[in-house]
Amino acid sequence: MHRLIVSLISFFFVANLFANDTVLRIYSATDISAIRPMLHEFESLYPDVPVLYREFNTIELFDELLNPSLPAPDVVISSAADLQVKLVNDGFAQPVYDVPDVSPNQPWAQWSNELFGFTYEPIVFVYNKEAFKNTAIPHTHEALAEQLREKAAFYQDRIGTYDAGSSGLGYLVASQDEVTFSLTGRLQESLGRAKASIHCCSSILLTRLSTGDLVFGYNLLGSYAMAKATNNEHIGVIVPEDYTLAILRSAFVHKNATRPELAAAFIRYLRSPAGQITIATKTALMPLNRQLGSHNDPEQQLQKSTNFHPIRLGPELLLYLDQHKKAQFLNSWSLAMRP
Amino acid sequence: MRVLLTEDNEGLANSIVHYFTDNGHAIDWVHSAEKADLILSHDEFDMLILDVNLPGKSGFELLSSLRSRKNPLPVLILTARADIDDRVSALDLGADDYLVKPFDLRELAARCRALVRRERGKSDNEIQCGNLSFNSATKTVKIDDEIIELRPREVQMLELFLTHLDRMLTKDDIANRLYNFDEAYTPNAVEQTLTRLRKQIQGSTLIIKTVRGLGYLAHVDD
Amino acid sequence: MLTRTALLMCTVLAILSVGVWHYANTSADYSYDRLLSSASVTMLDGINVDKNQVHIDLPYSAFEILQLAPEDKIYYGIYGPNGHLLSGYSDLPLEPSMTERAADQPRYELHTYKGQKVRFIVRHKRLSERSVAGNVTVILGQTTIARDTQMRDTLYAALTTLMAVMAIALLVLWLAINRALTPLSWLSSQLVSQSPLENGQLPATKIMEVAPLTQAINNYRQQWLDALAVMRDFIADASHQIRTAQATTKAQLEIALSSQSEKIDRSVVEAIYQDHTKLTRLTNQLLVHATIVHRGDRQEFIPLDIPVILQEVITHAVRDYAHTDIEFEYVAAHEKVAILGDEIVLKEALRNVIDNAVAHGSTGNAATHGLIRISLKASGPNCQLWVEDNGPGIPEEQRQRALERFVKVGSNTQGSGLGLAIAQTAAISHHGQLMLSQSELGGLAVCFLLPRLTEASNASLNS
Repeated sequence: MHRLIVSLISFFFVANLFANDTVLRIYSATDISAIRPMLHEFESLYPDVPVLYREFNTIELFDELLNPSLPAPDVVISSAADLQVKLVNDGFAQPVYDVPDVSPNQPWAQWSNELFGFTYEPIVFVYNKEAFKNTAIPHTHEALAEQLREKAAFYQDRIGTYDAGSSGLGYLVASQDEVTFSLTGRLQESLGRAKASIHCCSSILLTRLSTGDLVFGYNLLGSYAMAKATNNEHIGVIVPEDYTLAILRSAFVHKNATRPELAAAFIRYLRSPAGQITIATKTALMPLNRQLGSHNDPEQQLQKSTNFHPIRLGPELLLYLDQHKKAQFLNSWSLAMRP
Repeated sequence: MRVLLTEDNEGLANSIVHYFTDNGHAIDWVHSAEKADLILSHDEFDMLILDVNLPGKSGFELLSSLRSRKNPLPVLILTARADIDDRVSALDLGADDYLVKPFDLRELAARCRALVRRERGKSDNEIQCGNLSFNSATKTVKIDDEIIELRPREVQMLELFLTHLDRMLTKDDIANRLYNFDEAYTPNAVEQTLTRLRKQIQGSTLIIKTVRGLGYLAHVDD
Repeated sequence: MLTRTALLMCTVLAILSVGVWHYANTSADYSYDRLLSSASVTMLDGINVDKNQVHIDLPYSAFEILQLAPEDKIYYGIYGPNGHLLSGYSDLPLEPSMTERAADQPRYELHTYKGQKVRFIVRHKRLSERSVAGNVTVILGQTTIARDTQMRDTLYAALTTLMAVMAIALLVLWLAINRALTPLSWLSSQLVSQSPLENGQLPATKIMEVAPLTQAINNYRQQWLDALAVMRDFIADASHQIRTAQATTKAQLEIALSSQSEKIDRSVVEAIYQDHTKLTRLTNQLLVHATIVHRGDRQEFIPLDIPVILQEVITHAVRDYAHTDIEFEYVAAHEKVAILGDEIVLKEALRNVIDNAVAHGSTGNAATHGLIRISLKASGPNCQLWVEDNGPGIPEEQRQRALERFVKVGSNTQGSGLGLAIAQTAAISHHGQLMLSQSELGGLAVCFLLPRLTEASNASLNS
């Protein structure tokens, strides 16, 4: 059910569009709408190269790479850092050199010259402004857990979150929540009691939140949420104050890339000041360089909060991909969410 | 006697040839070792007078090649070097005698005669010393061809001296040759025999010198 | 010298480098093997028996430990008691061994996996429940990027230090050698500017170490100059003597040639012959003297049996003087006498003294026979070689002068004046001396007093 979206930017070379050696193939788990300005800019830098952009969700992308049914991509982009790490670890990437550092002291934003993070997207709470007119908005995980207990009726059937089972990002966030926050289990149980609805994608959650169908969204991807909130006055975004996980959208050059030097150029572009500024000012994503802020974050919550826990790109992410670990985690998660 | 002279100095060579010819000896002269080697290969000589310093092959080389061919020809070396190294190597290489330049021609002739005499004595019965001749077979002694009557011991003593010319003989050396083990003799006996012998050969060119404390030495003064 | 030292140091550096390389390797392996070891232990902690099954719940910290090598990739496999893969990578290049026991030390192996070097650890854990009994095995691998980097860093740091130390050592050495050799350079510059035969002393130096050397050089040079002066005198004397004799002969020859008569007077030739004989003898003796002086310098002494040498010398003398009426007499010593010496020099010296005795002993003594007595006496550490004659002898006041070169004393006109000088030079070169005295035979007594070769010194010489 993957959607094929070809970015027809190089209109003049439509005839060459599918010739392998002339396009830059990007397989990505990112909304095309969120990344389009960057593709535009890259194509203006390399006008001879049309970009073939194919969108997947994170797990589909992972499966496609393990069992290819399509030509091998040049660049692979995903927000599911654990799956990206697994692919790199298993030798699906090739090293890229001279990739610029976005800002100093971010060794966790890249792994082994192969996997490069280029966005910094917080995991946030999203709420329906009208529903919370007379209710205190929880700003910490602990406050949320408390409110779920005390105002169970208010939240009943009206809270939503990602499906850890079907969404790669959902699994990563849920598992890292467990690693980071000791009360995660309790919170999950509370969510289960409130009959929280689980969804595969941000877009569905955000739509339901804006209509008032849901009043509170737990652990949503901040970039999409803030972008939605900018255009939609019904919803508000909270960057949790006790701790905020941040995921890095990351990219690598596929080992079988047909245009490896071009793929490398694309990755360098993503991390270049120009690319970062484009991310900050024109896309729904948020730049790895937090100082640049985001045009979707007028309150500058990103700069204010200090309790960010970026999920580092590194081999430790492999652990939750262990089949036993994953089965146990999902098992207990399901038990908690569907009591 | 027939002598081959190998000498590159013409002046010296001429004088030697002149002197030897005057004294009734046959002498041939060559000026290099190579020539000498050639002549020796097909002519008979009684002895060779050999200069060490020669153009081309040196005298030593000729001498050692002669001796390696087992040629017993008596060789007298002439050397200008007084150093023992030359003399020793000359004798080691098989030279029979040497003379250091400059020398008296008389001396050279005398040494040559002594060498030839010694060589002949080995094969001939007749030993000729100046005007004295001795036949070892018949034990007859002649001075100027006149037979001298000698007692057996005197003959024995004379023969001993003639075969040991220019060498020092102690009284014991002589006594051991003149007397058997069982014959008692007094030291005076040797002296007495010698005194008689001297008297008998007076007028000959053979001189027997006494060196007190050392022994006796016979020399032919010709 | 510096080049050789540098070469030596390079060799040392090479050897040390091998050691450093080994050390760097071992220490990198040691550090990163410890990471692997603790990570594998932590992994095993998460493996237990639950509900009659092997239950795997890997602690997150297991892989966090490996973050210490942040660039490196991780591969693992978990195997059950029957050797079946329970979790992890199915295509690892090594397998758990069923014979290994849990108590064994973990095994480390280096393999190439997915095109890269991977260091693996194999560690076991014993599960002893009724339902599940046996070893579970963890094989954990990590690429060697951090390991290699650390090894390189250690190596480069150590090598840099090593080379710096070497360079400093060489520099110090160079400075030290230069400093130490400065005096010698100064000395050679002084010597280069002077001719060795120049009669100049080296300037006094303030450098203490060099003072003895300059002194020694000055001393040595002075000895040279002295020897040269003696040589110059000798050449002057010799030229005078030889030229005078030559002039005499030449003059006589000219007279003979300019004679009006066709026949040359025999007496003139006789005189020429006599003078030429004298010239020959003079030349011979000059050469002998030069030889003795030269051989004395070389000092190639060997043990000599004196009676044997005396007998040879006497035999030759008796033979050569057989036609004269001179009598020789030999008085032997009562014991063996040997000395360390040069046979040639000694024989020449004795012969000269005997010739001397012959020349003087018989002169003007026609009534009695000339008598020459040669005797050998041993007296303690020395021996005496006496040559006596019954000639007129030399008055005591002239004896010292008689030893000088070209000095003729008394009625002697035939001699060269060198015989006794030769004898004295020989005696001195044998560490002895020559003494002249009045002989009981009436003439001159010449005595060589020479140090004997005793049994002890002979033994030490032979050993």
